[in-house]
Formats: sequence, C-alpha cells, structure tokens
Amino acid sequence: MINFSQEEISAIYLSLKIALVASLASLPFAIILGYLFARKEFFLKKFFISLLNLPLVLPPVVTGYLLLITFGINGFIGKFLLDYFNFTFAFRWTGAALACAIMGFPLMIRAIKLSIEMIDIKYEEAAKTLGANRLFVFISITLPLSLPGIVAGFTLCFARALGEFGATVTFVSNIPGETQTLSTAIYNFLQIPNGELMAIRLTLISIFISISALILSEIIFDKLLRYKR
Amino acid sequence: MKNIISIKTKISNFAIDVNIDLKEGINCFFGPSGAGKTSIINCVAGIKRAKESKIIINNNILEDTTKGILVPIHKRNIGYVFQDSRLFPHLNIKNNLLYGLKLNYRKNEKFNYDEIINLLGLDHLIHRFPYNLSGGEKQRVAIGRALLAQPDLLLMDEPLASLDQEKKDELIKYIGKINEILNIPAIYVSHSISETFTLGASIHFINNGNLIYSGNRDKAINFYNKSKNFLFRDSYIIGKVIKINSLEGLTEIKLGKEKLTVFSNTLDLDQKVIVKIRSTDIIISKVIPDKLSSLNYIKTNIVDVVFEKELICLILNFEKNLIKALLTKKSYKKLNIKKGTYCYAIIKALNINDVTNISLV
Repeated sequence: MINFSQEEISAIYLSLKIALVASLASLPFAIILGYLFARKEFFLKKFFISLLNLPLVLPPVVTGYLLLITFGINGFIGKFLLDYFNFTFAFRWTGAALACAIMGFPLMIRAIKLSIEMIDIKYEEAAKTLGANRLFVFISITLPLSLPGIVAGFTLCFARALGEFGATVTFVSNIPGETQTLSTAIYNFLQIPNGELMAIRLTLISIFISISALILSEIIFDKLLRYKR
Repeated sequence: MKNIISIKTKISNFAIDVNIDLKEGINCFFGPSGAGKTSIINCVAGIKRAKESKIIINNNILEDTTKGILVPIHKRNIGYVFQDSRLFPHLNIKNNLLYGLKLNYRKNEKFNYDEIINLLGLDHLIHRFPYNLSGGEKQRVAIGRALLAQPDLLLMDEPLASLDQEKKDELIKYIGKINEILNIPAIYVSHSISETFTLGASIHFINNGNLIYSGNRDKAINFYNKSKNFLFRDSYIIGKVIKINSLEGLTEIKLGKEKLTVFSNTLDLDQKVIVKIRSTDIIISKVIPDKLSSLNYIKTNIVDVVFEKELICLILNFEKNLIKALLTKKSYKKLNIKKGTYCYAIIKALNINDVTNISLV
C-alpha cells in the first residue's frame, strides 16, 4: 500500500473537487445554451458561439489573466461580489473551479449542441401530438435522447478541468491546501531539488484518475445506448 | 357531431383548397403522391399552418383564421400515426404506449390499455425497445400509442407504406379490429386504391390540392369505375363468397345475380370481398363463344365509350356495377359496338388475383 503524504492527499482531493464542481456547475448552462444554439436562430448567434469558444484558442494564461482582472479582489465583478456578498473567487478553490469551468465549457457545450442537433425533430412532433407541452417534450424526449452527448460533454469538461494548469495558476496561484491541484503540485515538485520522485508518484495518480474517469464514462455510454441493441 | 376541415393555403407554390366533411368511421383520403393529402392532415394536427383555415373536430374549433383561433398541437386531442411510426427510441414499448395515456389520464377513457394491447396483439412486445421491432409491429404500437392518448380524431398517414405485402395484409386486419371499437372518426391517407376501398367507410378523392369527390364506399367505387380519368383505369366490385372449391383452387363470388369465378385459396365462405378487375384483362364478345377456356362471361351493357389516344375505353354496366374494358381501335371497329349495345365481358379466373376480404371493416 502506498502511503500518501498530507500534501498529496490534499492535491488529489482538491483536483477531484475542483473538476467535479466545475463540471457540475457548468452542466445546466451548457444544456440550456446547447439547446438554444442547436435549435434557435437569434441575433449575433455566431458571435456568442465564438465568444464561448474563445478559451479553447486563447493561451490559458490569457484566460487566467482576464479572470484575474474581472473576478480578482479589485476586478469589477470581484469587487462587487466582495462588497455585497462578502464572497471572493480570488486565491480560493472556488476560483480554481471557475477557471476550470471556463476552460472546459466550450468542450461541454460543443458535445451537447451536436447531440441535440442529431435528434430528429419528428420525435418531438410526435410527442406534441400525444399531448406533451414544450417543457415536457424537452424533459421527456430531447433531454434523454441527448444524454450520450451530455455525458460526453461532462467527461470532456471534467478531463479538461483535471488537466487545467495555466488559467488556474494565473488566476488563483498555487497554494497548497487551497488551490494546489495535481497538475500544479507536479509542476511544483519539478521546481524543487529531489522532487522528481514525488512528481512521478503524482503523475501515476493522475494517469489512474484519468483512466478511471474514461472507463466510467464508457460504462455509462453502454448503459445509455442499451435501447439500440 | 361536427367534423369539418376547411383549408386554403399555399405550400411552396402548391395550392391546397379543400372543404371536407368527415363522417363516422374511417375516412380514406385517396390521391396520387404529391396530391396534398399529408399536408392536409398536418394542418389538422397543427404541425403545418395554413393561410386560411377552419378546422372543427368533435365540435371543438381547433383553427379559425377569421376569428384568430389557433389551438397548439398538444391541446388538439388528435392522434397521429406517422408513416415512419416515430416510436420514441429510448422508451420501451410499454412506456411508448403509456406516454400519451399518462398525459391524458383526466379525460374520460375511450380506449382502454388492456383492450388495445389485446386487439393489437402487443402483449409479447411491451418490454422490448422499438429498435428490434419489425416495421409492422412498430406501426401497431404507433396505432396503440395514438389511441391511448384518448384522441377525438385519429390520423393515419400511409401506415402501410414501408411494409411488404404480407405485413400489409396483416396490419390491415389489425386496423379492421380497431375499427370495431373505433368510436371516433379516423382519417386514413393512402395512394393505394385497394387499401382505400378495403378500409374506407367514407372515401375522399384528392388531387392537385383539391377535393374531387366525397362519398361512402359504394358511391366512391361507382365514381371511380366510371371516371374517365386515366389514373383510375382498373375497376373494383364488391361481392360475397358463395362457393369454395379448394381442390381446383377456385372460388365463386356473387355479384348481384352474376357470379365470378376467381383463382384463389385464401378466402372463406360468406366473406364480403372487393375484387379488382384490370381493364386490360377483359375480352369483349357479342356472343358466348362455346370453345373458349375462360370461366367468366358477364353480360353487360355499354354505357359509355371513351376515346383515349389510340385506345378505346368501354364503360360497362351490369347490375349497378360499372367496369372498364380497354380495347384497341381495331378490335372496337371489328366488333361494331356502340353505346347501349349488350355484350359479354370475358375474364380469365387466373387474371383475377386481387381479391381482398373486407368483412372486417
């Protein structure tokens, strides 16, 4: 049995917590926006899609810096949150989750939008003729039929969040026990003499977590698509 | 009970202008592909919007453009069986069937779950998913699902279109069974005339977005048989099976006082059947030839002679039935016949192979 140090445990725990919270909090927004982008036409639609995809192409440091100047203690949203709600993202694990969510959001929304576009609108028509209103059609037909895409989007966002480095370190730094995740911890150990062994241990743990997450999502896919067999 | 469909609209340069008064039972909309039949029922279901419309089903006004009334799809109470069945792939058969039932549980029950399952033979399917059902089974489930939503009107858009002949006959039997408990009007869209005459209690001929003729089955058959429209070339006659000789494979069908012998082994005694007679299969003779193999010689009266390019179409009458016979101009001249002449229509028993049982409907 491997004995984990306090620092390692906290990095593993924080990584999982941040990735999970980032993905879960993004999910409802991604489903709603994915539906809107897939089904509705509106003014400046392409602009909004590009804007949300921006973190995919920008250097992560830039995204982190932009987060810092908006959500930091002196940023215009950060200052507002601190003054009125006594809440801040700066140098907290919540900030790391925000950075991860922003970085993973384009991947999540892309998968969900695609899967909603794939649904034949005829099923929704049929549901309406059976007496279902719009909301019920969405809940009982659209959502379940797009579930594979939702799971894929969630997995991608979660994976992106686990590996997120640049934006996190720029926005909330690398504070052990608060914002230090597996990736920032590995980077940290590589900077100190004789830290390589620790870095390798954490690398192996990262690989283990990532593979487990991917296998889990494959299992869920299988379950979801059982009706096609 | 008032059931009126009045639609005037244009769908990408194709004009539809119909006034249809629905009758009890199955109303068949017959017409060639692209005649506007599906567009009409899509307007009734609310899936398509018409420019000018007045749709009243079961005394409820669903659409009235003059009054600005437009009831949304889910409040119309109209069951729709689509050509491609559209069963929800993620739900098993039971949940597909229950989908509309659960949403309409407050309404008084017109169709009972157990009864529908029983009539449509769905019992062994309910735990399966649509993915591994055959085309015919899917359509049966779709019919059940639509009925269990307790609709005021049932729409069926060519439900047999994607099935092979054997499955078509099977599904027609199931639709016949449903017809016995059908306490609401139904619209059945088809471009097959034999399906139309088999299932329709009332028949509405639609072409180019217009209603050409509406009437009950007997009248519609008569209209069809005497129509000079080139589309309607074959004739249909309703009769009753009176004698079966299974050794020789022959069945006798009574048509008024006349009898028709057909080569068929699939019919039962006393069944009401509809017989299709192709106009090209009829030989016209002024006398009964004594050395001819054919088994059928029907005495008829020529009621009309229609010239169609190089062919002649004779419209023949016997006992209130009309049949059409196609001749070449040469044969016509040779026989020296005209309107009012009596002659014999000779048909080989082997050529009459489209006989459908309609006792169920």
